[in-house]
Amino acid sequence: MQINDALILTDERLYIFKAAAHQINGGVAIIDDAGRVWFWNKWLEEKSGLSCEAVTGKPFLQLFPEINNSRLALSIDEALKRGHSSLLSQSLNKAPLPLYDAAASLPGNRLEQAIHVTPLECHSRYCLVQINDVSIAVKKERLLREQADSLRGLAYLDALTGIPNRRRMDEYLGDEFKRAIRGSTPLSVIMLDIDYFKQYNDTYNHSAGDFCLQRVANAIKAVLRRPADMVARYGGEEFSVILPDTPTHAAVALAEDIRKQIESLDILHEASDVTRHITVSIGVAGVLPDSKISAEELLGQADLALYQAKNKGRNRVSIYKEPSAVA
Amino acid sequence: MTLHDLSELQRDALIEIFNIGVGQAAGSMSQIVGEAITLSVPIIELLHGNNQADAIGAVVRSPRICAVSQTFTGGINSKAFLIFPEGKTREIVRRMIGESVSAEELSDMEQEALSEIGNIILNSCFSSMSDLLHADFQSSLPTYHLGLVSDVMTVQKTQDDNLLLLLHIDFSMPNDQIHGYLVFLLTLPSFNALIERIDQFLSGIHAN
Repeated sequence: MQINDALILTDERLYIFKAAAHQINGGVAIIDDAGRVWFWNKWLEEKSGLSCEAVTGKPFLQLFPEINNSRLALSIDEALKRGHSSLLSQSLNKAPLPLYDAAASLPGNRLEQAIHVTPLECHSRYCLVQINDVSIAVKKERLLREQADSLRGLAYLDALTGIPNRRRMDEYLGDEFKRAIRGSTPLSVIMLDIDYFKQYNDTYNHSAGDFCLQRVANAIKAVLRRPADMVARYGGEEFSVILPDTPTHAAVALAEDIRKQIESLDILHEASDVTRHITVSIGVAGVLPDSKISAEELLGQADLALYQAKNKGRNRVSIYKEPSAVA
Repeated sequence: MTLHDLSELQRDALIEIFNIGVGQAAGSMSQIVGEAITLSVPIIELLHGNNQADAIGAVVRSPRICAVSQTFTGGINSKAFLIFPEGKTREIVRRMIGESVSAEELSDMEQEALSEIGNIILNSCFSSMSDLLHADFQSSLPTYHLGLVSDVMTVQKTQDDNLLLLLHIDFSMPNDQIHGYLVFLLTLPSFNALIERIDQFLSGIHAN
């Protein structure tokens, strides 16, 4: 009689555990040591469209042949043979099982899944496969990443001219410089300064100065033809242009085009000592793959060339030359 | 305190076993990422005493680390860690999932991806030990940690008979090399069991 009571109690406990497993808000599958489905909870019934009755006793790999040789199949094997536990992240395993949102009126995309595979030790070994739907978390992270990207984009733009700012330029130059060295390709840098801009501001006021900066920025942009070429506002009335895969002589030709383009804007500047309209002075420096300089030094060389252009009378292009080459 | 150390042969055997393990892990990782990844374990060190956390910090050269740990029980009991200096973690995750990680800290999804990488490597190491040393291990699910070495490792300071195997692990990918570490915390009895099994393994080789 007592034994019977104990059995009844055990049955009840078993029933409760089974009911709880069915109610869990996530997939719970138990696989026996021969790789057959031993338990399949309600959540999985709903998301897979396969009932517990239909899958019980069937080999898991036969039910989902697409997972053959996948990390999920190997993990189940490792759990059953060795007793190892495995985590299958959503990022590294794109939706391994054909599970779908049961509430959706149309069959949509597979649920994004995070899967845990753990051994269950009994007289023989079983394997517990837990599946979590992480679709919402994935969507949330994607949104956050997009927002961060757009915020970062704003932080990298010059508010007045809408072109990249110095911070962005520094990063871009750093990346392109490394790429040039690695790939043994040339890289050129242009530094550009509006002649007598202080006097322009003093004569025509600051809003005219702002408008002038915008027109100069657009004029430089119009001359650049390749998507990899970047013009940035370096600060004040100074602009810089990064030209990947461009040897110095080609950069000089481009700089001359920029100088002419800005002169042809014909922005009246009566206080200029050069002519009666806005002009620019330009310095060009290029790096050869085998040179030993850094990105900062390259920028410094372009700046030196810019000073030379100014000293020689402005409204012109100067090229940086190695001191030894001059001697 | 008794000084425990490894003989040249035992050291070579361990390096061999771990290289087989990480080699299998590299195969799995390459399959996931779709590009060739090679993993190798060039150096193994045995650390003991109370200042293990300091010793790890000195080797990793970063006070803060990012780690994935798993507990292994069976023939030999051990808590195992895959460790990266904090700054390197983003590189490996970016490389594996191919998306830009903009935040300073890894997101939940990225932490989980890193946990899986650790899981693949640690399980493979123990599989290799099972096969060659004929010892069975059961493993727990991986746990992600970020923080000071001493907080992450939680070495019990009162027990000075804890030993620690530290392995350097090199991740080689096209155009990239990342350096990480594997650490196995062993109690003295587990360490002795490991040595015994290695000696059996070695005598097995010499018998042939």
